[in-house]
Amino acid sequence: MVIIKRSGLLVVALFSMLLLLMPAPVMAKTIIVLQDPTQCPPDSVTNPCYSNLTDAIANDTTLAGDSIEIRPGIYIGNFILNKSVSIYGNETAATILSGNGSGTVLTVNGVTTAMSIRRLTFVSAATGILLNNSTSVNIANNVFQASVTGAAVQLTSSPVANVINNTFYRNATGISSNTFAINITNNIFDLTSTGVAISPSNMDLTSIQNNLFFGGTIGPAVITDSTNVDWKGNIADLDPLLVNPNSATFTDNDFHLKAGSPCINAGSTSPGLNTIGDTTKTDIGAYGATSDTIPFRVSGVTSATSASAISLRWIPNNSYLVSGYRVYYGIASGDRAGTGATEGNSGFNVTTASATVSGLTTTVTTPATPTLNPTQPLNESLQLSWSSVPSAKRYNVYYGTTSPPGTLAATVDTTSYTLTGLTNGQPYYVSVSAVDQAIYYFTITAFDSAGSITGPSVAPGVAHESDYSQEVSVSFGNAIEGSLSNILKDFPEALTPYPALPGGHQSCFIATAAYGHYSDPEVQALREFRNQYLLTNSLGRAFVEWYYRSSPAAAAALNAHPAFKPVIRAALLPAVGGAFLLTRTSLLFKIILLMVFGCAVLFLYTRKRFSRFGGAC
Amino acid sequence: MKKFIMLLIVFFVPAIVHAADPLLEPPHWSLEVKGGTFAPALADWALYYGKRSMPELEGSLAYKLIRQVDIGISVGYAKDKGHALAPGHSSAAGNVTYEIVPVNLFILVRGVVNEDQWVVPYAGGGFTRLYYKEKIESQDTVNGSVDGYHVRGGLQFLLNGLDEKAANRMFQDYGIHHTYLFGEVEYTHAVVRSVSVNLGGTAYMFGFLFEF
Repeated sequence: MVIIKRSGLLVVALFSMLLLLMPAPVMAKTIIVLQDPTQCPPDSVTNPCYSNLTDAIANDTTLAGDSIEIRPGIYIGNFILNKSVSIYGNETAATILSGNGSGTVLTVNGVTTAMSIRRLTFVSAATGILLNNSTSVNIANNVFQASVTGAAVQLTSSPVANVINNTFYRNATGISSNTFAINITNNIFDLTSTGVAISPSNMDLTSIQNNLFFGGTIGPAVITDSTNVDWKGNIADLDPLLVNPNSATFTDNDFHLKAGSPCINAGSTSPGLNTIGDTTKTDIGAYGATSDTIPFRVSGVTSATSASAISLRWIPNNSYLVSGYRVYYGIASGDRAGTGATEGNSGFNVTTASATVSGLTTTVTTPATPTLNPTQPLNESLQLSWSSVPSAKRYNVYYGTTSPPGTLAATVDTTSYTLTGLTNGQPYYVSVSAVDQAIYYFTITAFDSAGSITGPSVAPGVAHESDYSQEVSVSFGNAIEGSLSNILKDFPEALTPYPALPGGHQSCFIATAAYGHYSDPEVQALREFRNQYLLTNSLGRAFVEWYYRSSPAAAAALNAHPAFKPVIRAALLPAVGGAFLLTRTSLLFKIILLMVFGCAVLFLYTRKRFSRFGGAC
Repeated sequence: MKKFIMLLIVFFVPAIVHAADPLLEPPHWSLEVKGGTFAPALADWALYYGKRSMPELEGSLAYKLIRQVDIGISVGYAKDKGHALAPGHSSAAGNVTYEIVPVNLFILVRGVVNEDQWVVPYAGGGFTRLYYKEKIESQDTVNGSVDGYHVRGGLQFLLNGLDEKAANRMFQDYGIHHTYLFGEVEYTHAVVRSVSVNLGGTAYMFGFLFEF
């Protein structure tokens, strides 16, 4: 009995030791890939986090059985996967893998245990996915667009592959394979440029079912035979009615189905049922079966105001799954917690692509007066800056040649502005005032039937509710303008760099040499005369060009013999005086001067004539 | 004086540690990469640019006529940001970006008498064409070039003896016989005659010299 007890203890001890010595089972983990590393989950051991898909795949801690979750963003590269690691996006339309115009976006090489590639959009490459010597790979709920030169999905010696619920749009070829038994189910093939959806055409037809072929794209002959169009649920020559597949930028393409699409509830249920919509049947295309549940974001939000309300409109989301929109508002950019609207607090629902928001507070007080800082002169412009006024939503900038300045130059929401288009040497008066007005910030989301006000809305961009649209700001109610700031007077002028060097039609070489510096007033006057009177006509420009060709040598000679500088200055005096008169005086002064000069000439002429004939004077 | 002569002797004595010995044939070319500060000869520079000098980078390639004489070309680049003058206001205003690219054709004499000599003094000079550019806020960019000359001198310190293995690898992999760390002073004189402005100045630079 003792022996039995002892041997029992021994077995227990041995078993315990064996358990201790056995390697702990490795738990499959999810690796996160996202573009903003600050958004990584806090526990990077459980969920390692990368900003680069290549790093996530290549890292030694990424093992067979793990999954890589790619968060929304555009990821550019030619990625190679040689581990049985599933890759999926959490929002198909916003998780984009791009080959940047060439190569294969994702190559799966030598993977022999089951893995999947799901909920991703493949763009701009020769090939979207290449399966090479791999088995049991599931390609599901992806969009392939603009894989121009090759096949969207290429299979080389890769049996037991499942290509299910994908949308192939504007690719050269849909699927190309040298393995004949592939499960091709519930896919949309639309507008392939070669017209070939599946190549070669003699593939095993028994596993090609419930696909839609459209836009000149044909499947295997038996499928598109007019006498046999319903063969295994395949559909030919019916427009899939995609919401918006042809935007100017591929990130705006929406491959959800519109109401009335022949793909709705037309898919095989073997891959799984719809997550939303009619959950007893399956749709064909990337958003059927187990697709993501995030509606495409709203775009084109515009606003208009009346005395009492703000009207918002946006481009409707025509996905048949979208059942309404949610209107968020606040009093600052990014604020989604506004209150006080008659229609409800921020996040109220509407069923159409427009909303009227009324009852918002418009009360504002007269803003304080800003202080204008000393102006900075620039060439034909003045740089202004002023103190910030806490309650100001924007500032009016005034200028003019008399005080107080009456011309509104601009309305800005910053505390600086550059007045341009001014005349050098002309004095200007400038001032600013602060303006206060109620401003509200709006953003819109779309939700599906499961994400209505009573549904399980988690947060925009997560499930059943789209991400926020682009924010619009709306000024609303009466604007109250404060008093004008201090008025400053200044004039713009051409700047002189240090050192003042010749080049680029800037210099008056001889005058600069004669007067000693580029910024001497006499040189400046000649430069202004050049700009105002010579460069404005072809004869003047020709003279300037001749001058620039020939004058540097003369200037160099003058610098070499500075004793001649006073002589040259004296010779230039009439030209400088004329330049001063023409550029620095008003038109009235010029007319008066001309008249005085004319009278003087007339007087002298008359006197001379009288004296010749012996007259008085 | 005695100390100076002793110092010279020390300089020209071969290094105690034998350097890599791949020197069956002396090198024919040298490549310099250097950087430092360039102090323009312009008197009021600091008034407009805030400091007396600006950073400069330079590279050169030279051919060895004989072991002690190199001829070559170097290209440098220096840039600084400052303010312009509003002459009517007599105050600084607007931003100016000033850039120069000196291109030098030079001849260099090196005091090398032994392949293992660990300190090599050198001096040289030559022709300079200096390209300049001034970007002035809200105005046309001014650019042009001016000819002049430059002189330079410094000391090169042979690094081969510090790590013979690395020196051998440098020769085997890249054909580099000698690697020097050097410091030098370079003076450039390039006057824009029409405005009597010398765009040259004095540069203090450190860098590496590779002989291959």
